[in-house]
Amino acid sequence: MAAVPAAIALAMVVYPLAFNIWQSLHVERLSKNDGQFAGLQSYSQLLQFGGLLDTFRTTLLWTVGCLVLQSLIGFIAAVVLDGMSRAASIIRALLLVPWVMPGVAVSAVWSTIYDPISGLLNSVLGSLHLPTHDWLGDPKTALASLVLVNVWKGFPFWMLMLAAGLKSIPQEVHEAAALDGAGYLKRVRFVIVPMLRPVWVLTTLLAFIWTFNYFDLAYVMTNGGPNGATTILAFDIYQSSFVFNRFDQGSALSVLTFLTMSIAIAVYFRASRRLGGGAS
Amino acid sequence: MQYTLRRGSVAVAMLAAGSLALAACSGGSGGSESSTGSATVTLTYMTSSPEATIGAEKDVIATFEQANPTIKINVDAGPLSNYDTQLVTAFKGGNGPDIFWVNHPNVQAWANAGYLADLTALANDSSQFQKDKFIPGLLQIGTVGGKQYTLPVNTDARVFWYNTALFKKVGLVDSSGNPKVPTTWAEMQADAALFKKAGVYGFAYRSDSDYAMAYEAVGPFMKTAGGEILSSDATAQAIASQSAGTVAAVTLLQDLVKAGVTPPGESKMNETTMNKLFASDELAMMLGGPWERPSLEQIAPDFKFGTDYGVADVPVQQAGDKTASTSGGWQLGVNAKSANPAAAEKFAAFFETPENLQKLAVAGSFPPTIDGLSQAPFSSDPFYIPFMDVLPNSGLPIPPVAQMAQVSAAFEKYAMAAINDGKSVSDQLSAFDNEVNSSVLGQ
Amino acid sequence: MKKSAFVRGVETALVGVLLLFALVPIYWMATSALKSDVELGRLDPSWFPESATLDQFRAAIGQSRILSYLLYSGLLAAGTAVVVVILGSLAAYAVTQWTFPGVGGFLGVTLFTQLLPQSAVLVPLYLAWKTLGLTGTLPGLGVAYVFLFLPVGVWMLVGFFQSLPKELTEAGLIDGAGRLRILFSIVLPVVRPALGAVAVYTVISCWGEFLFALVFLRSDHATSTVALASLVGEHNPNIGPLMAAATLVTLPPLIVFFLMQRQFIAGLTGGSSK
Repeated sequence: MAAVPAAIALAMVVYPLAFNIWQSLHVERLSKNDGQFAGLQSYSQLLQFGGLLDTFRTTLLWTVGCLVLQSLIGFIAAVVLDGMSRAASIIRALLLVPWVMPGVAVSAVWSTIYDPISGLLNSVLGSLHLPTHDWLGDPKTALASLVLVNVWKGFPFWMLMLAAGLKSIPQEVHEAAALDGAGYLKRVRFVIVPMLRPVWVLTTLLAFIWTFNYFDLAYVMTNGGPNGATTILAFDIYQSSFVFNRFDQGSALSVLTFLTMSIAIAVYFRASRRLGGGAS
Repeated sequence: MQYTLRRGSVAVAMLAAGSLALAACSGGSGGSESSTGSATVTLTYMTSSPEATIGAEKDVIATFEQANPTIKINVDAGPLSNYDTQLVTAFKGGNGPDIFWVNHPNVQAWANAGYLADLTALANDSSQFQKDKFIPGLLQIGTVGGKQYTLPVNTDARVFWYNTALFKKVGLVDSSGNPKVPTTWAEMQADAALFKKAGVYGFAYRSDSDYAMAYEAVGPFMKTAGGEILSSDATAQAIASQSAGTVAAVTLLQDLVKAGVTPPGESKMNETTMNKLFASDELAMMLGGPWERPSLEQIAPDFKFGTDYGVADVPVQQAGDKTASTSGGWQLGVNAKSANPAAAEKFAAFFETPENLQKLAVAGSFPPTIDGLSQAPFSSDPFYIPFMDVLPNSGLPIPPVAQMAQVSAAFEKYAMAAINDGKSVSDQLSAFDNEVNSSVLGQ
Repeated sequence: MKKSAFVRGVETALVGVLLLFALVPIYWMATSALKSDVELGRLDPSWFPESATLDQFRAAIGQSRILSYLLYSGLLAAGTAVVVVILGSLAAYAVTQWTFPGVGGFLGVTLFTQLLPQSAVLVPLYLAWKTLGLTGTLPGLGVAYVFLFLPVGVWMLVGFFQSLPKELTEAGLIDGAGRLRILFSIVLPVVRPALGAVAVYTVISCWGEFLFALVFLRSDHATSTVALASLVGEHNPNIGPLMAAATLVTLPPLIVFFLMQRQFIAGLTGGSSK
């Protein structure tokens, strides 16, 4: 019963990883020498010319920024709606809309919102006598602008996960806490948050990986610019492989990404096990 | 319990219905299902044109199918976005369409990787292909290592666009009251200053893609000054910082930005915004290709060519220099692993007749032939006069190399740093040369 | 839970802000879809269309195959979701009920399936699919989607299954029920919201997926995201039809979720944990 998904999972890890490792050790750049063994040349080129440190930094800023804001907004939405049974279903469906929109559509719509001359955001700011800006064209604001779009798109997922987790808290626990005299906010802090921990951990792990690897916005809205301000690892990999045809470098980057994230996850698991907690 | 059972049966029903529907839909893998019984060959033809403009291509295909009843052609009109990704992934799997459009920067790499069939025999067969009618530079793009791998489909050029009302407003008119269009860079800069005083933007340039600097913004001016980005000899080294024309062109744009005559958002300026400003009489001058006209007609049908705006030759560095511009365009390739190479080449030859190419070019690009613009529908339209002027001196800003995308992206990065951020032009172009020579070319 | 009037007031304000945040861009998209090309070409954006027109929708439908692609997207998403929920709950149940060695390893492998980005998986998956003859067909892409989304579905369900109190299943075991019956009669109704979440996750992931659909399918049977992308021209971003198509693509899942929400609430109020 667990065998089929396990086999699928194993295949989905081992095969692409092996493929990328192989490709990163050979020449693969749509040239006449494709297939030749190249050793660690791609890796050394990456380290020398790849601007990896900047890319890693940008990726971390992007991921952490998105996660923190998405989880916060999602949590607030889930908790607030949990108590409002009648209107909640309609409101929740409405709040799901950003998540339901395909990334292609989101990029198109938000590009027109951020347009410095005829965009909605600058128009609203202008009418409120607030300063307008070239949001996507200024290296200082480009990444934050993309983060806002991804938070808008992704908070409903958090809301959904946390809402399902809230529903799984048995009513008796709430009643027991109420009997103990705990007020609403205290109940949120000492009952809801701890009982949501397994779901929170799960969602964080998933959202971290997904956000880390999500490059659609960086590709369509800013093409990694301006000046590399939105060049995250996943974008770098796509650009190296499919725009510059440097499949060997793209694979090397993918392998490095995989290693980095594996180490991060392993460290996280060891730390949580040592602290005696954790649901996995 | 009730709910679970209902859910279970709903799920099973959906699964069954879904599988049936999907199975019924899955017929499109290009097999030769010939109902006539004869050996019908099915080719797949892939194009980058959106459905809206693909009509002319479909007409050509229909004519060919009528003349060749044993060959059927399926049209695959994929999205332009990630067009190269679609094709390269298919090629890597040994798949891919039989005949397809190739964007000119990809020809070298795809030929090197063995994706493109060798069309040299076809190109040299004068009964099938009229080689001498084509612009030599475009044939050159399709040549790799002395062999012809693609044939030209279309080309383009950028010229100078000006807003008539604004020119009249600041008094830049000649004796008959027509706008006095700048012919040199210095005149253009002086005019831009006048527009700034009048409270509008003097000049805008595109910067929304990896190719914008090389083809749209710096390139045309660079070409008029005889500048180069890569040396055009066999070594193909990056020489942007040593090419006086290139340095001058980048400096020209940098000076325009410093003079404050450009609109905000120039680090990511696209054609749509430029057209909006232009049609709203907020922007006086810009460079653009023939495709701007249909876009302008769409958003401002009352803003007409001739009365409200005009086009002219690209201003030159010194008075008396010849005008020039940048050109690109698409090519046609045949899959090296095609299951029906003979039929594919036959179609390619039919497609590549000057008459058919002329029909395709009306949607905002030019035929790849030497006398294409001097025939209908271009010859009778005064809009095309400046294009006819610049086309003979037009060419690629970057000579064909396998790493064109990377070179272009690097040029975009360093040129924008100089133009938008005011950094030293020679420093940025030297950095460009170093980066390209050490880590891009020869790889 | 009883809440004070103050808390309820704050909550209402928060809901209002959230709704504004989520819906203003949607409103912008929908109204842009109703504006004419000329109005979209103006420098100053307008909040209401001057004279609402359906031209952009007509253009979107005429210039792309969005209507048929919407159907294909729907079939693909629904089919994949069903497979993922069924296989996923079976696997998650097995993993949580039987503490066999390697459970942690299995979960770890699941997590590792997500680490490689799309760009790294695209070519190897395509090559494998080509060998299996699955490229160019909708079911082939469906299988790929199952491969891509099942691991996370299992992972999600394991998380929820693990937070179930043991008393539930033990009560069933004492009654002499077999494992599968326990799964269907006792566990599944309780974790209904989790199943819903996994189904929703799978449907959304399939619905919005672009790169694999673009590369694995041919233009006679493609998905709605491909239709959206196909509207953008080389020099004309085609904003009007693009916004209309984006609106069309957003509607179906929205309607489905709205309907499903009610079923959830009905199921929950009839369930055993509350």
